[in-house]
Amino acid sequence: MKKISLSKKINGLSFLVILLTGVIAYVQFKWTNDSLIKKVHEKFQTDAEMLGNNISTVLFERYYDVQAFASNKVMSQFQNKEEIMSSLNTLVGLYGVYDVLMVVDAAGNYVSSSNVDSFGVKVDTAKLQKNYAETEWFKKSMAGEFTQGKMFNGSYMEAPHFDPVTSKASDKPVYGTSFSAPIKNEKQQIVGVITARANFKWIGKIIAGYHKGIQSQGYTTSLTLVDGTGKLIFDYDPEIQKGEEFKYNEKELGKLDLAKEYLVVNKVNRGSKGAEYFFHNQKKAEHLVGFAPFDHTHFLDGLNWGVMVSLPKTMALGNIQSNEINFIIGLFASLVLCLSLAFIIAKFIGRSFIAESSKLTDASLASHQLSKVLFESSDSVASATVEQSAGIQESVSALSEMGSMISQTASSAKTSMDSAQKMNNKAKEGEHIMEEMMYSFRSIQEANQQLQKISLIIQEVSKKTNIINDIVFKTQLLSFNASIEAARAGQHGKGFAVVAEEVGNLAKVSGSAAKDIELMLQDSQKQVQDILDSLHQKIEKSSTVSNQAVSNFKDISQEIEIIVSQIRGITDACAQQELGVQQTSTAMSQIDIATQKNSATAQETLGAAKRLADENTKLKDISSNIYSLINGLATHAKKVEIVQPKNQSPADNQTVINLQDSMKSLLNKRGSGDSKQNNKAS
Amino acid sequence: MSELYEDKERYLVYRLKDELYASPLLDFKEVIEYIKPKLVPNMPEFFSGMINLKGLIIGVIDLRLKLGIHEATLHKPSMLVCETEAGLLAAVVDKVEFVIYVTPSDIQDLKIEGKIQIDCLKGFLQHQDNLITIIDIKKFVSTIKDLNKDLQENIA
Repeated sequence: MKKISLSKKINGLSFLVILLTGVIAYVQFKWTNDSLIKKVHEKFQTDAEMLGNNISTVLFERYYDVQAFASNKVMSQFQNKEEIMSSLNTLVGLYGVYDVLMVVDAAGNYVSSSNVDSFGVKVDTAKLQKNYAETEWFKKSMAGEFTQGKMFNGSYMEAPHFDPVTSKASDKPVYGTSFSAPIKNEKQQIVGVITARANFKWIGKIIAGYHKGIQSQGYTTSLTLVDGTGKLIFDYDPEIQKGEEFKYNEKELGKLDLAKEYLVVNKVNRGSKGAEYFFHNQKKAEHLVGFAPFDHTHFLDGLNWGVMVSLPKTMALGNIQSNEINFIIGLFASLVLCLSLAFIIAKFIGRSFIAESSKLTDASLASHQLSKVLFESSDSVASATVEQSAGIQESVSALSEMGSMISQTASSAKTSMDSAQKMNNKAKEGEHIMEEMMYSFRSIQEANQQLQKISLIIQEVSKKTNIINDIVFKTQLLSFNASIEAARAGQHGKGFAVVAEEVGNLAKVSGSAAKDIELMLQDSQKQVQDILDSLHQKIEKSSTVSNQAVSNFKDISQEIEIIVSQIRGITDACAQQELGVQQTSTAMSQIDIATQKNSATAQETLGAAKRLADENTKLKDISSNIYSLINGLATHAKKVEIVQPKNQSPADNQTVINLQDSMKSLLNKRGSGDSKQNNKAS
Repeated sequence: MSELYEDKERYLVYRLKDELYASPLLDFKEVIEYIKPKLVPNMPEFFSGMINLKGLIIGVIDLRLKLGIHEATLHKPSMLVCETEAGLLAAVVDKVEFVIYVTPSDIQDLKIEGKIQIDCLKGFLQHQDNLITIIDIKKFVSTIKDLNKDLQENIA
């Protein structure tokens, strides 16, 4: 395989692919085409069947028409010949297919008949007046030997033929069928026979109508009816007949044995249906024929008629055939086009491959130099990692110190909070004590009120002394008046005067005593008042002072609470700081791990750089291989000479060797660096 | 005891403000409590008004005002009812002090012109530490008899 160049391979491959695609497409097309042809076949076969069915439907009508005529009571009254004739004429006009309707008696003698044929032409009835006892239709009808089928009974039918009865009456050969049925009287006895001679146009019209129907679909066909023995019954082909008029050839109809000429007719007579091709002797051309026998379930026994719908093959398959030819031509054209395109592309690709492979060798050299740089940078990364690791260690220790400081702060904050709470408790106690003091003040005030009551009592007493004074005054006045009276009495009043004087003196004494009492009372009243006043003032003073003290204590307590809350804030902050420090230290340890990983990675990078150098040499080999692959081994030697000196220069080799040396030394250094770091960590 | 007072006269001592005055006991008909007089218009200042004394309408003279002592006294005043030529008259004094027995020779006769007319002023008497002015109250009150008479007539 290596000896073949890439372009040849591509050409070969694309040829194979296109060929395969063409074959598949052709098969697909053929399959589709066949199904189309099959559909056409089916269509004409169906047409043949449909035509047969149509004919048998009308035949059914004709078969029972004659029985209906026979059942007419007029027909059995032979003596009334005129009446029979007129009703027979009416029937001829009504149906339009019967040329002669004739009634004969049981002995076969003419009774009456119609005198107008289906075309409205007068018929000479005198030619019909004879004995028909020897005719087949009379004998069979009288004997009850009817032409029978699954749905047919009661009539005798003659197959299409040149009817002697009608021909005689019309003086020209007339092609048609006859239907005969016995006439029965009221007692159901056979008294005669009625025979209906139908012109063949009743079948011909159906065939012509069907022909038109198919022609409207774009097919010009010829329709053929054959009997069970392969003899021609009717052939409708306007192309050959040169017109749509029915033509009855006396030499052919009922005599021409188509079974001898055409294999298809045999098949129809055997009862098979389908579509196939045959060579039309008259038209000298390949024809398609759809054929089918009459459906025996709807037709008379023993007739075995068949229908054939034939048309030129070129007309039937016109488009389908031309399609196939066009397709094959197109396929070949595209095959050629694709092959030439593939050839051009392969050439182009080969050229670009050569260019790219030379670029590849250049790139591998550049890659060598890059790997050297990689060595150096990875070494510096390794040393940086060592330094970084040491720095991280220091940071971790600093962090732990910071943590312990914070926890100390937290504990001192806690102790100060405790003392603050104690202080607060004391302040609250002080407040309570002050409140108690306030209560005792109140009791003192109550005592004071009692003292005020005493003062009131003293006042009352003082009022009483006023009464005494009054009495004293009045007594004095009395004593004076007594003195005056005594003086008036003169000598006799001397004793009384003394008494009056004494009373006056007593009053005076009591008056002075009352005055003393009053003075003393006033004094004590004053003293009580003084006491009251001073007490009142003092109480008020102390009450305000103690109130102030209470409020002060409350203020102190509040302040302490604020301090406590602040200390709490400090403690919370400390806890958060501690948490932060812990998180930071964990982060630092993670960084440490990362750094260690980094150093490992740096080592790996060194190894990778070494491998890269190896890969570079391999790359060179590969590029030369690619060249040979594209151009084949035959041209290889020539091309290598051009490429070799460019890529395999001694300078490059030197670079590689240097690179490997420096790499080894770097690897050693890395190892010692690692051990150093390990020492530090321990 | 009767011998003791045989040659002595009895005087009623009363006080007007700080000073003590005395008049013969028999000049007085009665000593009564102060009754607020019914004011009579268009009269001299010292004439306080009229009072109803046990069915008799009598005039009232304020001695304090009569003697020019305008200040009100501390004590409850009293009224001295006198029998005059013009009928009964009540004199308002600050206080009735006591009754004294006086030997007429003890009365020092001294005539001084002043608010008290000379014929009304009988003299002075030393009693213990006090100097008592002795006034002939009948005469003193009579100086206003015309006034009283007019009043009586008016009432009648």
